[in-house]
Amino acid sequence: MPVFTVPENIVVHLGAPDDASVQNVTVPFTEYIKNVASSEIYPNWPENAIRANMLAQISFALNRIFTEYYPSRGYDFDITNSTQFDQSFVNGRDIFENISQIADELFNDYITRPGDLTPLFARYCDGQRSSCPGGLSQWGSVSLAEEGYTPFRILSSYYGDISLTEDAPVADVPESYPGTPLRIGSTGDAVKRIQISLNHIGKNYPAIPKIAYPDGIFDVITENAVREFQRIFNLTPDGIVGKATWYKIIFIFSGVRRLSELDSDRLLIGTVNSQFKESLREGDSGREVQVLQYYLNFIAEFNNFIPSVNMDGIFGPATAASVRAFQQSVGLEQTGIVDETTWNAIFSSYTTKYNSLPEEFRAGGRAPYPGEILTLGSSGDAVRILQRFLALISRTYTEIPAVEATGYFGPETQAAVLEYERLFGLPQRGFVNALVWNSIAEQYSILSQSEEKSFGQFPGYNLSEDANA
Amino acid sequence: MAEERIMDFEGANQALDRRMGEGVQQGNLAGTLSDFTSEEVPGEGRQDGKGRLVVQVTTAGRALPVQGARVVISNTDGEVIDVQTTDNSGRTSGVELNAPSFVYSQTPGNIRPYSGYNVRVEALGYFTQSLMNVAVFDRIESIQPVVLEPVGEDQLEGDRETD
Repeated sequence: MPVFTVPENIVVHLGAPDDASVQNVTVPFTEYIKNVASSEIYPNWPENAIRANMLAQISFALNRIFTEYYPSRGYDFDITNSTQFDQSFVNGRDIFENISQIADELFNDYITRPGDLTPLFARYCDGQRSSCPGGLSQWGSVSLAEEGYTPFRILSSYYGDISLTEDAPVADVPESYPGTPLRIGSTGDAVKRIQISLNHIGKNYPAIPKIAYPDGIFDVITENAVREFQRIFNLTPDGIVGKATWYKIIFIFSGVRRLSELDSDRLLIGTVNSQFKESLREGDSGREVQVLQYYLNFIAEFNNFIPSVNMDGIFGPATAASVRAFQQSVGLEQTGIVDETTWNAIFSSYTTKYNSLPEEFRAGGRAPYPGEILTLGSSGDAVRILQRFLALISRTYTEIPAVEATGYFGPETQAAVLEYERLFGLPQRGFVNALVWNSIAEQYSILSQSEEKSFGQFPGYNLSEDANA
Repeated sequence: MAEERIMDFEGANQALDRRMGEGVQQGNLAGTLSDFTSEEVPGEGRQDGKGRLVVQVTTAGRALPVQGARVVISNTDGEVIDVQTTDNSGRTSGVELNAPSFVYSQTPGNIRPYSGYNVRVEALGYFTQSLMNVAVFDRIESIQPVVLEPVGEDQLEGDRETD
């Protein structure tokens, strides 16, 4: 039975729906919920009242997304922050720690009518200055919580017959929380995934101790790494990977990866060219458009007023919207057309952000696919690089037989490739085309520790321990 | 000096007060609760609550922490309360701050149940970011995320320090 998928991000319009003078901001869904709760209620209310309110806020937002309420009416956002239409969201505000922790746990839980898939359109009001029959009363929930009502009972008393959906699937997160917490003594693939992810996050957040052997056994070293991660990201620092910690590790890892991937995407666009050639507009396609999309995506990593786009080389409505958002953010006329002024502003913004990154993030990325399929009998530098990648990967994924970097693609290399393909869900053909190469190069990039010089990287790539800003 | 980025949350605070209170006012007549203590400030009730404020500084969203950022915490009169430097996770160690007593947030009233503080974040290579009227509640830790925007070479006046 299809279940609603919780989005990774939500686009919030910072005003009434028809106010075209304000910007849209793209925020991770968990951060959106933390902000809404911190803006709508008081954090020192009884915990059951806070939980009940947050479930209503989550359901409300998911209803807007599930019904595509605003996009279906021609708007380019998911929800507004106008309390006349939706719920409060104060861009850039502080978040309360207890609300943060509850949100990390509840973000993919929501209420529905029994038997219904749709998140409930959970209306609410303050309950003192205004009342809303059939909706939750915020002040009323405080009284009920003080009387000992559980969050579900509070919600039922306002909304009537409801069901609670828990741990719904999350977009771009193929592995849901395993259901039971991972702790010292736990073993298996889920543990290994956590260990690899923490090591990679630790490249950017060096306070997280390295797990020297990410072997799927949850030991004291793993526990220390988890605890430090929790301390940094405002989770209860108990060293146990429960639901909130599981998803937080995935989300932070994904953010860290995205930055490195943009760096690698640089190779696809070739030599950086600041020269304006000709205006680009909706309907155009080709290499120049792809370069434009790359710059916009890079800028979007630093500026959440700019939405990211698919780097497909096609200038469609999404790319136009991103261009307009950029123009708005720098005070240019929002034409959606990239003329010389807009192009120069985009390039300048991109360059500033790129140059701000620490040395190790400006490497030029991982080795690109050599352009020809590597198979039994192939030989040369590309094979040697492939073998070095596989050798490192096989130290963590021990199912893959170790190979020597001889530069000759023999039966042992083929066996390693087949095992890699099996482990990572690729078609098991035993040769290396672009798809397989990119997968292997990505895994190598994730697993390689910060001191190791990465083979096949462009010259000048010298990773250092220090991640100074 | 590079241009400063300023965010002021007082407007949002007032909107919250209007939604939650019976006409919450600051600096006007005293509230309706009878157990005032000597920590009372007219219009602000008891001020003997304590909250906490931690600042978390990153760039590129949350992908990269900014170490060594200078974080100045002041009250809304501009008096500096504390100056901290971010660690290698981009975090300050946190500071305890005065806030109205917990009791004011438990029922609708006309005393604002939180205090506002100003936070200023400076780091080499980034626009300075100021946040005004950051809310702090009694018994609660506030986490203020700050995402810094890199400054271009052409936007700096004078020489840039190198280390």
